[in-house]
Amino acid sequence: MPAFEELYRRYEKRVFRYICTFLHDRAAAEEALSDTMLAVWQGAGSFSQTSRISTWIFGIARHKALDAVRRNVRRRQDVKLDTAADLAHPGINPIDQIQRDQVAVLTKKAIDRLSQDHREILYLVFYEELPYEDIALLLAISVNTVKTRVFYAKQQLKQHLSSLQSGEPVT
Amino acid sequence: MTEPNTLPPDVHQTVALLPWYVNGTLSVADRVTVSSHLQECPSCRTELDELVRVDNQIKQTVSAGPVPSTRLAQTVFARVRQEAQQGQEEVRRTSPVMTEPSTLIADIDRWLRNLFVPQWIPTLVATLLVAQLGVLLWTLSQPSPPIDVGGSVASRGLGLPKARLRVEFQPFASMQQIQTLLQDVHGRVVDGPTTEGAYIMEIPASDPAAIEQNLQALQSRHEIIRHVEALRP
Repeated sequence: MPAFEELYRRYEKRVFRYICTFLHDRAAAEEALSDTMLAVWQGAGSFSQTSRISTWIFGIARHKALDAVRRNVRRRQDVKLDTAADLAHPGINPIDQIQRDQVAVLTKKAIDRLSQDHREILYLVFYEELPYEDIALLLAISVNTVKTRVFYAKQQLKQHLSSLQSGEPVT
Repeated sequence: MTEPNTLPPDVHQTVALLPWYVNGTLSVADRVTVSSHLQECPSCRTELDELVRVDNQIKQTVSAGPVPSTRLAQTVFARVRQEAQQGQEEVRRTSPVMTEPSTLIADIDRWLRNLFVPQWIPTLVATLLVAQLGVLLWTLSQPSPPIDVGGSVASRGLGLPKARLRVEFQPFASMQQIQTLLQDVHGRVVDGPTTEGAYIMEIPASDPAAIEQNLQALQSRHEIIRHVEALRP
């Protein structure tokens, strides 16, 4: 149990944030995280150690999140997550804070406009900092597809950011 | 997804590696190639600057996002404890000697300690030595029997030959799984744990091929055994 608790503490935020690239409903994301961690506990013996443990855990999380997406599509429940970007950051100059918040809100909106595949791959490259081989393994796609998908995802993000900055009001 | 599986023709192929140049996971060779290309290519340098910005924006946005509630952790831990308890009850039902799957190492450790700690061991060793000496002296004092050339040859072995293995069990392996595995290979734990948490297992070994076969069978049980190797006799 202590080993599992340590593993949980080490991965809970990362796995939850990864799941959030699929799900916009906090309750559904937490349920998927819970299912992932229980599956990790139950399947620990089957971990083959041919891949990194993080890749194995993210693989389980991906399946659980996609299951939840399918369930949610059926239920038509899509409650937006609270954005912590709306929260004040103590100790930061208020003007800087406003600018940061605006950038954060714009980026959040632009990321939300991306397709699921693009959102996921940008998260894996830039937040998780995974090598392209690991991403190919996790998503079960070729290394070439990983590379081109990141290129087009970044292009899309740039387009969304530019259209948000030029035209649409930030709410 | 309908996007092409290649980069646009006007984009340098090096661009495909830039995201991993930014996240620091490129191989040294690729890194050197990208670095030297960047020195000569302004358009790729612009692309790199944009990717660095994207990297920062994504890190900031994701970090500012929500985190799972602490209540969730307690719920998951409670469910895992419940499952562990159910597994424990299952083992109790099937094996009254061993009690708790999650405390395998502690159980074996306790068992070995009990074996080695008692004060009667020195007395027993001394008694056996005296008895062996007595038998040896008696044997030497007897005349040698005639050699029966025509008789059948009997085994002079002291029992079946055994091989010793050094085994590290998976931390999540249950007592029941290990018991079943030991039964499968007719093995038993004879020593341990070492400072690395390994145990010494003894298995019957009629010949080197049989040892190798058993070793491979054990190596394939990844769900129970993390590492196993044969010890030299």
